Order: sequence, then C-alpha cells, then structure tokens
Amino acid sequence: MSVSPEVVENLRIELRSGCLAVAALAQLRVEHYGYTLRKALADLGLDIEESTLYPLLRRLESQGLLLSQWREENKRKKRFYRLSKDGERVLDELLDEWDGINKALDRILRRSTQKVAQR
Amino acid sequence: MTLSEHYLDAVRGFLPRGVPREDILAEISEHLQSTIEEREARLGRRLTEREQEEVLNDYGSPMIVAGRYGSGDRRLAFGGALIGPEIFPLYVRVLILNWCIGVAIHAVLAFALERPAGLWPFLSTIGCQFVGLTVVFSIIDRLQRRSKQKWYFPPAYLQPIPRWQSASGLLVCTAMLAWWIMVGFARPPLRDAAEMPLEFAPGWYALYWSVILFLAAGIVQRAVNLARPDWNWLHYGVRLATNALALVALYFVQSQYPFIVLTDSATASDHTLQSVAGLNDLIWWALVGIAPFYFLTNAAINAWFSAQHICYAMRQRGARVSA
Repeated sequence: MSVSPEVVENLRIELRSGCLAVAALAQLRVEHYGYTLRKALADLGLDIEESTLYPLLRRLESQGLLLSQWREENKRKKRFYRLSKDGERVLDELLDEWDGINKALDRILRRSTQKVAQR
Repeated sequence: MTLSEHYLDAVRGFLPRGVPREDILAEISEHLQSTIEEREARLGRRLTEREQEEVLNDYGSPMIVAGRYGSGDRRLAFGGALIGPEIFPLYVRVLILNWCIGVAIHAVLAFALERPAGLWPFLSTIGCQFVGLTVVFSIIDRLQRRSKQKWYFPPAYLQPIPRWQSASGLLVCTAMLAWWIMVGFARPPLRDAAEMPLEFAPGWYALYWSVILFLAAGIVQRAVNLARPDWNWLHYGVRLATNALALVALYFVQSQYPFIVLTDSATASDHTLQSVAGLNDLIWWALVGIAPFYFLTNAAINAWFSAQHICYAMRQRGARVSA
C-alpha cells in the first residue's frame, strides 16, 4: 500500500508548524515588519507563506510573546514586530527543548543507521 | 477599484467575526504593496494587471487566507478531516443561516396551514441541510487544496469566458431561434389535443422580429466568444443590452393578453375556456411578477461587470499614455 501524498503533506505541515514559530520568535529579536521578516527567513533558507506568517504573528502577539506597533516608514504605515520580555524567556525554553530533541533525534538516527548497516 | 482592492474585499468577506478586520487588511495590503514595489524595482517598470494578479495568486485564495485568522484548529472530521480550519468558520455561518431559514419556513407553514408542525419534518430538514452542506463544503475543501488556481475570485475583466459556456449557449440559442422561425412560418398549434387545442395569440407575432433580433445577438456574441474567449467585455456588454431591452419588451408583451388562445373556441366547453383563462393569468403573473425581477437582476449584474470593464480599459489607456 502506497502512502498518499496528503498524509505526507500533513506530516510535513505538523513538523514545520512548531519550527516556524521558533524561527519567527528568534528572528524577531531584531525588529521587523512582516515583509522583511519573511524575506530574512527566506534568505536563511526557511520559506514561509505570507498567508501563514501573518496569522502566526498575530497569534504569538495575542499570547504575549511579541509586541507590535504601526509606524510610518518610506511614507507607508507598517506594522513592526519584536520579541517581548516574555517572548525572550519562552524562546530560551523552546530553544533548550529544540536542542534536546535535535540531539535525541541525532542519536536515534545514528543508531538506527548502524543497525541497518549491520544486517 | 484596483486589483488589490478587489482582493482585499474578497478576503474581508471571509474573515471570521471578532477579529480586527481593518488592521488585518491594512497589514495584508502593506505586504502586497511591498511585494509589487519590489518586483517593479527589479523590472524597472510598473507591473501590468496580469502581473499584479500573479502577486495576489501567490498570496493565496481569499477564503484560505481569511480562514487562517480563525480560531485555530476548529474543523469537522470523521476519521479524516472533511472540512479544514480555513473554511470551517464559513461552513458554520452558512449552516446556521440555512437552519434559521428552515426554521422560519416551518414556522410560516405551520401558521399558514393553521396546524402545528411536527418535530419530525423539522428534524429531517435540519438533518438534510447538515448532510448536504457538509458534502458540498468537503468537496470545496478538497478542490481548494488540490487546485493550482489558488485565487478563484479574480475580477470579471481578467477572466476569459469559458469555451464550454459559449458553446452550450450557442447551441441553446440556435435551437430556440430555429424553433421561433418555424413558429413564424408554420404557425403550428401549441397543443394539438382534441379537448383543448391551443395556439399562440396573434399578439405574439407583433414581437416576431424583436425576438429574432434578441436571439441573433445572443448567437453572435457566443460565436465570437467561442473564437475569442478573451473578449470578455463582449459577453457582459451584450448581456446588459439584451436584458435591459428585454425589460422594455416585457411591457409590450404583457399588454398582449391573452397570450394563448383556443384554436377553435366556438365549440369549447365552459370548463375549457376557464382552463385557458387560468393559463393566461398564470403567464401574465409570470411576466409581471417573475420575469422583470430576473431581467433586472441580470441587467444589474452585467452593468456592474461592464462598469468594471470600462474602468479597466480607462486604466489601461492611462497606463499607455503615461508610458
């Protein structure tokens, strides 16, 4: 039985969704507005759809992790986001968690690769 | 209205309740503007409306974009997801509206028939609406996810007329024209039954050439759009003209009462004469009560699209002049 592309897509979305929040929080240690934030993330190799990014930023703001402010730049009003104090603390916790998962996953992958090679 | 404004309007229509709409739209608008400006700077010229449409398509379908501002993970699932979180808020709104209409109709019927409506018809209506709308929305959800055309609400002036639409319209209009020409030449009876033989009243033949003109205009428009689907302005222009003229023609048509007559009324019974009078009354009410509403709605819709075409043409002309 072949796995449907929909199942793969759903797993990919689940895997990415948490990472995107962490990436956005980390990038917003420096103030950005939506457009430049997306570009900065894309330049670093993490593409995120605009229609996903903005609702994510609003959710993080409503959770108190981000602060936002409408300001004029180049004669146009833009909404600038930056990490709040709570956001900084939560980001540190999430990065610790990320580090732990990353190391564990690394060990799991290395061990399973060795076992496959021994067969 | 610019293309971006059309898009933002479409998003606004799907935004869930309780979200700061203007704030969200301002942010999306700013993003679209930044993207367009960046592309223009790269190309060294202004983007055409087609290129602007690409930017909007990349941003996503208004329904999906708006749905992402909804309350997180609300969705309908029986094992697999039937209706995703993006269109779930719209699904709930439409379902509630349908239920309200259903309840109102039941209440009116119960009042009019002077008998209390039972619980079963009420519950079966609610159940049928739930099943029907769930099926429709799950199909929309699937199509949305699989479709490459993410933004399916572009303004009419950027959409070619589908060839199947022109071809089917051409067939129907040609068949109607052939029938009408045959009616004019042969003047056949409408109904050949011995108990009630019917034919068109002579008044119809006063409108003979007008009807031919209407149908011919429809045939020409469809034939041209079949060959040139991108001449979409022709579709809306001709529809506007024919529907507006049909409204005028309707005034003359309704004055031609009776519309159908017995082929031989001398030998007809009272019952037959009454039946024919009833049929004529029915036609008159349809002409006065339904047809004007139909033609007026169609004329208004096509006037709206034609106005958009004119604005688009003026913008294009302005862009050419400034270039």
